[in-house]
Parts: sequence; structure tokens; C-alpha cells
Amino acid sequence: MKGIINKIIPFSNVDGPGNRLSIFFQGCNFDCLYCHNPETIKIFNEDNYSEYDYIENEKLSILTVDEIIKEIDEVAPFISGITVSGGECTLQWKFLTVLFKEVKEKYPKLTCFVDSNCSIPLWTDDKKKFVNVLDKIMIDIKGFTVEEHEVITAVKNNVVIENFKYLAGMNKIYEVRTVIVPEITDNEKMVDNISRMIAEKDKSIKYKIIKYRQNGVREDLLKSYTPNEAYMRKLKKIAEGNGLKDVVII
Amino acid sequence: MSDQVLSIIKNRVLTYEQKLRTLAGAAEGTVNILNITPDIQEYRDKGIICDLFEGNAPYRARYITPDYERFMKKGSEFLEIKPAKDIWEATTNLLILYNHVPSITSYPVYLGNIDYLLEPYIEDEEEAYKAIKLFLLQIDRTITDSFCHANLGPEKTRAGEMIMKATVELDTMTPNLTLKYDEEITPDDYAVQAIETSLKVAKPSFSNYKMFQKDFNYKDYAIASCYNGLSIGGGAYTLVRLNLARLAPEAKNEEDFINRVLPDAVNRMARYMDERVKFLVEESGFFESSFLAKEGLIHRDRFSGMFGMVGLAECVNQLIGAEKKEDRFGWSEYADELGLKIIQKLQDYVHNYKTKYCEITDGHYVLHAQVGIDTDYGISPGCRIPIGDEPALPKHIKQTAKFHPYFKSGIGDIFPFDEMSAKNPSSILDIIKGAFKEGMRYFSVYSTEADVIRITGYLVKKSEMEKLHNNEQVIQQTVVFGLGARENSKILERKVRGNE
Repeated sequence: MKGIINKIIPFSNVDGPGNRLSIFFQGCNFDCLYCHNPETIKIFNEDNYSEYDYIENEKLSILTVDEIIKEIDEVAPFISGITVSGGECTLQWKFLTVLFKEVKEKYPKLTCFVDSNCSIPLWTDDKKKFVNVLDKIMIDIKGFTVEEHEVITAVKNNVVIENFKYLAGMNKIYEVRTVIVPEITDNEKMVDNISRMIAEKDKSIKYKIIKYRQNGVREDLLKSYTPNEAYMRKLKKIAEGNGLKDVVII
Repeated sequence: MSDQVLSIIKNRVLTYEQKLRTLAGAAEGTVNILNITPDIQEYRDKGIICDLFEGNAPYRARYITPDYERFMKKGSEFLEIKPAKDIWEATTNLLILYNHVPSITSYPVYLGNIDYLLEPYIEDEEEAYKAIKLFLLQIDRTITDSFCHANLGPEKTRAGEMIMKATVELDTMTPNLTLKYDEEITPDDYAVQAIETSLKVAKPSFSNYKMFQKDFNYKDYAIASCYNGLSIGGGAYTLVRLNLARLAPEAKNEEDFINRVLPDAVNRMARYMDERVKFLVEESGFFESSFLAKEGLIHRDRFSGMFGMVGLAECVNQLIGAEKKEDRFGWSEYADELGLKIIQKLQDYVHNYKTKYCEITDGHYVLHAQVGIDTDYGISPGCRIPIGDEPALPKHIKQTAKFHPYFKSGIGDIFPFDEMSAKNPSSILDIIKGAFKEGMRYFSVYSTEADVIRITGYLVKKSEMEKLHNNEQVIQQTVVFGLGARENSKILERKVRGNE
């Protein structure tokens, strides 16, 4: 079994606690308007990965678990753990299960984090091992109502919400994140709804509200702008008003 | 001579104090008492051996690291100081003593483990904070030289937390700070506070407590001046440096360098150091007359001599004729291995040269990776990878860590971090923990956004360098060196670290 990987960053300080090795898996089942790394969306497999031509001279890496462990060996003393991201890494959950198991065996101190849109059902029996072996998930909740989620991602969010509730119940959530894009959705209502849902489960879960930024975004798909600080503070207040203790503006 | 004196007197940029010290240096320069043989002089003239402006007739040790704990317990007869009873007396006593601790700069280069020294006097925290903040303000404005260094840790103390907090509030250059760090002793939250402090005011640096303890036979050590590891209650008589970059052209090839040129250069420099140490110990009367020695705050037999070196990278690159980046020191395995071989041999040669007054370091001089001087052009400090050639951080740390164990009396690397890293200081702590496991001795961090930055070992404000650049007076003499390094050594162009 091999992982279809877009990129590995040996030192990352934005993908969870401490310094982490981050692995960006190729392929996503969402098509978010504000995707800032659209080159990771198209899904490939072991047979057709060489057709990847999104960025000139950059190729996908098709790696075994052992090959990734070798990359981790190089930086293990310097990191708190690894984070898998994407694309949507859980589309390759079988591979991740084996990878995490190997990491834990070799480096018991390293944590395994998952950065996910939580779009595939994680509560099913076949994924128990996967959910048990991972330490924490960072989950994107990109919209609260089915309609706003569809506008942003082209996909409905019933599974995302179910996953959130399931994982929160298992204390597996590191943080929830929502990108704030002016003019596209009713952001105040959305943040109000999402933060209330989080608070019902666990008020101490970190909630990150992230300013939309144009970097890397396909601007032909989305005409918007970065929300100002005052507006973000207003949204933060709404979330805190619902009882959340750790709301961060990014 | 009189022209030189007159020009110092008439200088409009030097402050009064700076003039006074420069005049003293000019006077010392008229004495020629050391027996410098022609072969030593040849290398001095070529810039291969450099005594870093220590002067012609040493009348005080270059670096002095008094036993401040003893002073706090006993007071001082000479200064008519009794042991302190509260935080105000404690800070005042220390400030008085600092005024009487000489060094090459005339200012104290070591202030003690100030957290441990002050912790016993903390009763009311608000009052203690006020006293500590005034103490630090007084140091910054009167010890106008950022080679002045105080130590913290390895244990977390309230005093240490207050010192870091006040340093950020005061935004001061002096004192330079080092946290003695051991992940088994120092709690993470304290280390993270140190990193946050460092991203604002470029200090404290982290010193590898485990490694230093071992090298100092499990006795505590002092970090003084830039990052010099010295015995407490002692110091360094002298620091002379060997410029490997300038030495390389004396050799026919790598082998000739290692087997003939290098041992000969070590011998010339060690003999020169002997002359300096001999005069200081036997003739200057320093150790007989100083109250520091009489009162047991320093002991002659805890001093050693620092055998400095610079320019390993340029030396290696010249010897192998490396032009392309992938062939150069820091990138090519061959170049790095040659560098390591040179340092191993250098250590052998230095340790095999027995000298009289270095009992504390087994009768030989100790290696020191010197940070350079302001007029160095295209010569990297110690064993550092040249600015502009820095590889990605994991590779950089592993490369440099190989050299650190050889330099008991000091070596260090400096890493500027970007804004995103500053938002996640524990990511930097992870890197430091890893670096120390790999064998790094000393690790400095600053943020490219801050005004106070680390030049090569010492600290300077960017705003002060700009003032001096415009010919305005500045209070700190170190700014002069900082400006020189800014112009000559590209220190503002270091590779900024973030996600990589």
C-alpha cells in the first residue's frame, strides 16, 4: 500500500501543537471556492499519478509507510509529532492507519494529528482502528447549514456534522476551524450556529476563525476580500457569547 | 601618539566615557613589554593571529566571572558591604560590586545567575518586581556594553520570570541573557516564556546545561560576554584568535594544512598567549592587588586562556577549491568532514600544548569559536555556515551540532524566526530540544520584527545602529561593532526560519 502525496514539510509551525512534520496528501472530495492549494484537489492513484501536471516540474510522491518513516527519522528529535493534511487525507485512511501505527511503535512520544474536512463517515466499524490510533483531529466546518456548505464546498455537510459530534464525544478534536469569507454567506449567523454546536459538546475545544486571504486562491471562482480585524473581533465575541473559552482569530 | 590622543579628544561621536577608555587604550599601546618573536609577529601582521585589541600590557584578565553567591553570603570587606536583608539591599549590593568588576571592556562581562541570586529576597512580589525592574534599568544605562551577560536557570524561579518580563517592558540591550536549559529540569512553560522574550528582545539564548555541566566536571559554569563558558570564581586571562581563513593560503593542500601549517600556527599562537598570561599573572600584580582575589570572589587557579578560531567555512572552501554551493561547507559531505577533521586536529594540537597557569582546564588552553570582529569581511564566525549559504533548518542544526562539543569555552548559532513561528513558540522549543539532543551547545533566537537583534554574539538595536550610521552619539559602545558587522558581514541577511 502506498500514499499519494503532494508534499512533505519537515518543519511546520502551523499544523498543530509544537513543531511538526506535515504531510500533504493528494486528492480532495470538496471543491472549496477559497481553496488555497487547489493543486492538491484532483484525485490520483498509483496507476495514473504521473499524469499530475498542475505545477510545472513538480511531481507527486508515491510513498510507502517505510519511506515516510525514513523522512520522520531525519527530524524526529525536533518535532512534537506529525500532521497529515491535504487535499483530504482521510480519503487515504487505510494508509494513515498503518502509518500512525508504525509511527507510534517507533516513536511513542510523537503525536499523530489529522487535518480534515471530516467528509467521510468516521464512526463506521471499519474505521475504528483509524480513529483510535490517531491522537487528535483538526476539523474544518466550512458552513453550518447544508445550503451554505454547498455554496462553499459543492458538497452537503451532514456527514461533517455527524463526525464532529462523534469525535467530540471521544475527545479527539484538537480544534474546529471556519474560514470567514465576506459576501458569500451570512458569517455572523454561521459562526453563531457552529460555536453553539461546539459549546454543546465541549466549551474548551479551540475554535479558530480564519480570515479569508487571496494567496493561492483561484480568483476566477471567488471574488471576495479579506475581512477586517474589527469584523473578526465581532465574530469572536459571538462565539465567546455562546460559551467557548478558546476562540482564536487567524 | 599625541596626534592619536588629540583626535580621540576632539571626536564628536564618542561619549565622554568612550573617549576615556579609548585614551587608556592609546596609553597602553605605547608600552612594548611582551616578548613577541618574529614568527608570531609575522602571523599577527598577516591577520592570522589576532589578540582582539586586548592591548600591549594586560593589567586585568579579559573575562572575569566572580563568585557572586559568595559575595551575597559574605558581603565585602573592601567595599564595606554587609550581606543583604531584602530585595533592595540585594540589588544595590550587586550593582555596587558590578561597578568594581573589570574586564577587557572595563565593564563586567558576567553578572551572575541573577535569578538565583535574587530569588531568596522575594517576599512581596509587586515590590520585588519594582526592585528588579529598576535593577535592570540601572544595568542597561550604566553598563553601556552588551558583552555584559547575566545567567538564568536551569530551574524556574519567580525572579527569573520577573527578569524576563521586565526586560521585555524595558526593551533593553543589556544585560545579554542566557538560560541554562535542561529539558529534565526546566519546565516547558518557563522555556516558552524565554522564547517569547527572545523573540521580542533577542535574549535569553539557550545553553545546553547537561553538556556544560559535564564539561565543567559537574560544577556550575558561567556564560559571559558573547557565549563564553567559564568557571565560576575565575574567568579567562586572554582570548586570542586564529583566523583559519587567512591561514589556509599558507598551505599547499589539505594534508599540508592539517599536518604542517596548523600545528605550527597553534604553536605560534599558544606561545603568544603564554606571553600575555605570564605578564598578567607574574608582573601586572592583578591577582595580588584586586580585592576580588583577596576576598575569594575570584581565584587565580580557576582562570584559563581561550584559544579562539574563526573562518572554518572559508578555510575549508579554499582548501578544496569549492566554488559551487553544493561543494561548499554546509552542503557537501566532503567539505563538512574536512571541517570536522580540522577541528579535531586543532583540539589535539591545543590540548597537547601544555601551559603553566591553566590548572582548571587540565593545563592547556580551551577552544573557543570566536564570533568575529566588526572589521572582518567575508570571514564567518567560528565554525558557522556563512550567511547566504545556510541550508534548511534540520540539516543546518545537524551540521553545526557536530562542531559544538569541541568548544567548551563557547560556540553558538543564531537563528532568526519569522512572524508565524513567533505565534507558536513551542515549535521553537521543540527545535531547541532536538538541537541539544543532537549535541548543540548554544542556541540563539530572535525575531526579524524586533528592534533588538543579535549581531554575532552580542546584542544591538537596529535603531541605534541607524543613529550611529547618521553620526549621532549612542550610549552603547557595542553599537559601533554592530554597525561594522551590519556593513561587512551581512548580518541582516541571515536566512529567516519558519516552515521549511
